[in-house]
Amino acid sequence: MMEKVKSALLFFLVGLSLLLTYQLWYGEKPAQLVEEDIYERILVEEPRSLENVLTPGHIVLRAEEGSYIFKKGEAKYDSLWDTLSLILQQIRFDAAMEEEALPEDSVKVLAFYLDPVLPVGEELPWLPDAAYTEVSMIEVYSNESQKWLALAEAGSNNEIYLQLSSARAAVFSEMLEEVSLAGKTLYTVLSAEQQDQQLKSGLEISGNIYVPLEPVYMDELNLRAEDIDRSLILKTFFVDYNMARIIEEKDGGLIYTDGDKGLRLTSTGLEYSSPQKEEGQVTAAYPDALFNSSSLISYHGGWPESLRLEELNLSGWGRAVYYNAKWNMYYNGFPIFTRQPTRALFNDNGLIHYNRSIFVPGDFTPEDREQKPVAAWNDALDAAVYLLNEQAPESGNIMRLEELCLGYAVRDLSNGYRGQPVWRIKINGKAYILDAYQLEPIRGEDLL
Amino acid sequence: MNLGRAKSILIIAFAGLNLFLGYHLFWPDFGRMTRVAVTAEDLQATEVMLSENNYFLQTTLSRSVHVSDFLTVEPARSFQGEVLQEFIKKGAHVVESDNATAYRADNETAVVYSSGLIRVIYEPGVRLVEDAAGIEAHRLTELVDNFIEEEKLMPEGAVFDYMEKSDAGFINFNYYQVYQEMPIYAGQLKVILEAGEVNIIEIYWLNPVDRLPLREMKVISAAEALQNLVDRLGPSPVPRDIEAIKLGYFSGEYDAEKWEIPPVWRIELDGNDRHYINAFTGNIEQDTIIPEQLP
Repeated sequence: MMEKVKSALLFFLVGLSLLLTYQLWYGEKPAQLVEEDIYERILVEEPRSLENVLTPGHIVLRAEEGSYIFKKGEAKYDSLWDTLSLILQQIRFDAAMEEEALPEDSVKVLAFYLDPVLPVGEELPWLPDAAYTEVSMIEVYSNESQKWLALAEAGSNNEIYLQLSSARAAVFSEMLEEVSLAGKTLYTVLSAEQQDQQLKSGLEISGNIYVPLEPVYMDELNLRAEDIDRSLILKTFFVDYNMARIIEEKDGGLIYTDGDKGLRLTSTGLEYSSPQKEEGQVTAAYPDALFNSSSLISYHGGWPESLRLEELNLSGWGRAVYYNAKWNMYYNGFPIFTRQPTRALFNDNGLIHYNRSIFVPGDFTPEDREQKPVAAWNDALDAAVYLLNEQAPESGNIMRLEELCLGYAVRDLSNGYRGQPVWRIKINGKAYILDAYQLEPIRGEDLL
Repeated sequence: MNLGRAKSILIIAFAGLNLFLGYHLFWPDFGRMTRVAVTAEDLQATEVMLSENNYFLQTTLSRSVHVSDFLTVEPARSFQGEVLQEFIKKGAHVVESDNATAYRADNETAVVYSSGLIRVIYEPGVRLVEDAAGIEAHRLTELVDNFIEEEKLMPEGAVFDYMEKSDAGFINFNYYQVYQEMPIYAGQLKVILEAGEVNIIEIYWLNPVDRLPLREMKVISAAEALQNLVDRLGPSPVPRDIEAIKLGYFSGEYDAEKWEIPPVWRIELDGNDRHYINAFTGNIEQDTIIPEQLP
């Protein structure tokens, strides 16, 4: 009898040891171990160096009959800018190089419109030997034998003239020879006289606005929302994402929040908010803010090739002061407009708000649709002025035209996401988006 | 050596092996039962910190180590359906608006919001007592309890929380939800009494869907929660009593399909001011941190 009890006990103990070994090896970890295992190394995109953060809003190539415009996403835009940027990085600035005025026989060849402005001077990649300043436009002048750069300082009428060495001038000449103008549309600067002749209502014109002299052909663009690695993006916002809880919205959106900050992921982008960081200071200088903006967008989703930094300025509301950085996607030189632009607000505390809404060209439609000419710029402007008078008659006689350009508005149509060709016209701070063919207004909330 | 002796040796060896395995497998949990999150020194230091900032502990702190997890919830649609069914039986007609649907019966209306909140409005109010001020609090609470039961508006798992008088002269009776012995402070029932009449009952009830044991984690101690609260509120100009500190679940009200809610320490100051400290992060829980559209 005793032996039977011993056998049973031995059998039980052997079974128990097997069970405990299995549980120890494969079973759930206790809570305290889970807590210790929260930090994880993640691989994200490297921030762009300062040299690659800024690019011109547009580059204007002067020709006898008018001007040709190069914008982000167009052939030769990058190489034109890279050539100038490299020259500015290589030039050892010397007061002796500075010229008081340009020779009378020099003509303007190129103009680089820099918005956001380009910081140059000490500890910066561009003109590192010069005193710090910010440049809003760089023009290239040429005569038969020489070339000069004219740097317009932001916020003043001051211009700096630099003569290029023959070697550097040759680099520019070679670059210009390579630029093909076949198929490019001719533009001209909108002048008050031209406007008076072609428009019924007078407008003040803010800065240089280029309008096409020839019909512009565009077609609807197939788009798709960029692919976001949700798991990775979550880890970039929450150091310990175990602490983040999930809220499933009725429209399919997902919100992650740890009670302190929140991240909403939708099928077309993301929104992030950290309200407790709002009341902070801003001590970063403009060049540092440029680099910070690059770090933020690279870390939180990456910086696609055709995405351009459009704005970087110091803003505020209430007691909050912050830098406001805004980016836009481009396709073939045309901006892609979304309802919420890709934007980051940040201060010394870190990222306060972040919106990311990036659409990239998708597969093209199988049938080769013909591109159609868009409505003329003056008709588009008339339509916008009509809308302004209808919606805000109190705006009175002073109307200031701030922007007039073509682009694509992102729409969610029955056949998928589409980039609809549009005119975007900004008057007195208010932007109007008009269908580029029919000039029908498109409401901001109808965009994706 | 005979077989019996060999068995005895093996029994001793396997018993030892099992003790060893059991120790490694369960020690953290045993430790959790035997260790304390708040030592006597911590408690003393917390009391000193509180008094230096003009807060005074009038309750006992839980000193044990707690673990918790997120609780997945959704609006209690079935309870909502039962309430509305009662209104339909009473002959209510339905009026729809943007984010709410109203069920209008003779003297009462149930308004259901897309978030799941139900607001029952009595017009005129239903008299419970002639003089609410002249009746003892517990008796008044009993009357309110009975009224909710009679109206079939008392959800399962509702527990009376507290009564408060508003500046406008109303008396609010608040109930919270309990799930597996843990309070869910996010689920609430509120009865508004004015001059002895029930005018409004608001019910925001949740249906616990799932607990996430895989994400079970140790929570911060009650002492740490108090420290975080004082850090956030700052020193008080007048003495304030900490009357209760209890672990539960809480989150803001979301107009969502379903969501996870975290464990919180609820700290009650002076019997009328309640703060919720996220028991994982130590942050004060706000109503909602849903990203807003940029200005």
